[in-house]
Amino acid sequence: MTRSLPLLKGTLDLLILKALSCAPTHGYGLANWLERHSDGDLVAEDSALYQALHRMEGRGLVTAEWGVTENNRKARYYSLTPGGRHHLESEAETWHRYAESVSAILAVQIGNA
Amino acid sequence: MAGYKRFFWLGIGRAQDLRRGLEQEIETHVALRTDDLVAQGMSPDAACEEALRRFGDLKAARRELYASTRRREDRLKLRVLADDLARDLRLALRQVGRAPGFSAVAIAIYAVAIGLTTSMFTVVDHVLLRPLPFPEPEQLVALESVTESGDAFYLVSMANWVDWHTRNTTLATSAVYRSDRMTVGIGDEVLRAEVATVVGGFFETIRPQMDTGRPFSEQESEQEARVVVLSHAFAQSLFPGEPPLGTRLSVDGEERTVIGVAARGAPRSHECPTFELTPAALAGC
Repeated sequence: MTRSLPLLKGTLDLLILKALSCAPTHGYGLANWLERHSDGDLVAEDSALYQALHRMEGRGLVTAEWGVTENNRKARYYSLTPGGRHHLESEAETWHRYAESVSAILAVQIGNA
Repeated sequence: MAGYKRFFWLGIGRAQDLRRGLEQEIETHVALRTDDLVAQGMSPDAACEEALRRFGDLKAARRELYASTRRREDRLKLRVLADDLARDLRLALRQVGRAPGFSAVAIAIYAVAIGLTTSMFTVVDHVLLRPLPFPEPEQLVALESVTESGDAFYLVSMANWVDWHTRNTTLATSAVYRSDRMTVGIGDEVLRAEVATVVGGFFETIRPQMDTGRPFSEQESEQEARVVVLSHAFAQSLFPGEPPLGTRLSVDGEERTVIGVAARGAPRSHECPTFELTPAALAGC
């Protein structure tokens, strides 16, 4: 737990959209998915996850329906709307360019400058 | 289908249900994480504690999530309403297109009904609801004669009125008027106008607002003073822009002096003569 990274502002939405683009799931499923795919590096407080989900539901990026989990608990299953999918594509694109630029700058060797 | 589900959810989705849904969502989350932690070998108590810790500030989260949920549901409710309205409109237009004749008749009936109700209300409003344009309108009453068979009869004989007037113990003042079309002469001009002849304290009774000049008193009425008070409209049409006070005019051949002009809208319904008022003596008593 000590090696986990705090999330950069604004990245949580992107991560959630990505997770939901794989399969609709409930909030805990999302938290699990994020931990698994970041090897436990990226950890958000669960409450932040729900706030992001509800916010994006309000913006029409995700939609939710009640369903039942494998061990028979009532849970809200979130899935991506077409608008959410579009948003994910454009945001992912922006993120890649941003990350590349930052990496490129950080990779500059002082001696070569 | 999703729309319908959502609609039903909204149907029972009052504040309490929103809160319950939110609690359910949080509860499921904490329970699932606890189960997983237990499966990883934690004791149930420790697992539950850890699950709650990972959730974060539960109280603040509840508050914020509830607020955002309610905002979203409100928006959704509006959208559902708008959709319903649009659907009803489309349906209505299709029906009109399918049966234009029937629709035309229905619309015409509505139009007539609305027109009738509106004019009815206008009458009721003016006659019953709006107060008379005089001070203390609730104190004013109209007196009528009653025949031997008990029917009301709006004409009042002068002798009866004098009896009412002198023996009256309930009314502060009373007056009687009679209005007629009479010949009014101003200089060379002669015209027919509605003129009310009044007896008793007419102006003391209704106390109308005056544009200019003064009303005549009960005393002047008794003395058959040769004076006249004009209505606002009459004064405007005959003496536009100039104050008619002191002007002499003849009413049915009798010379009278204008001493006042009542304010616009002061006496206006049939019960309150709209036109010229001249005092008369208690003739015939």
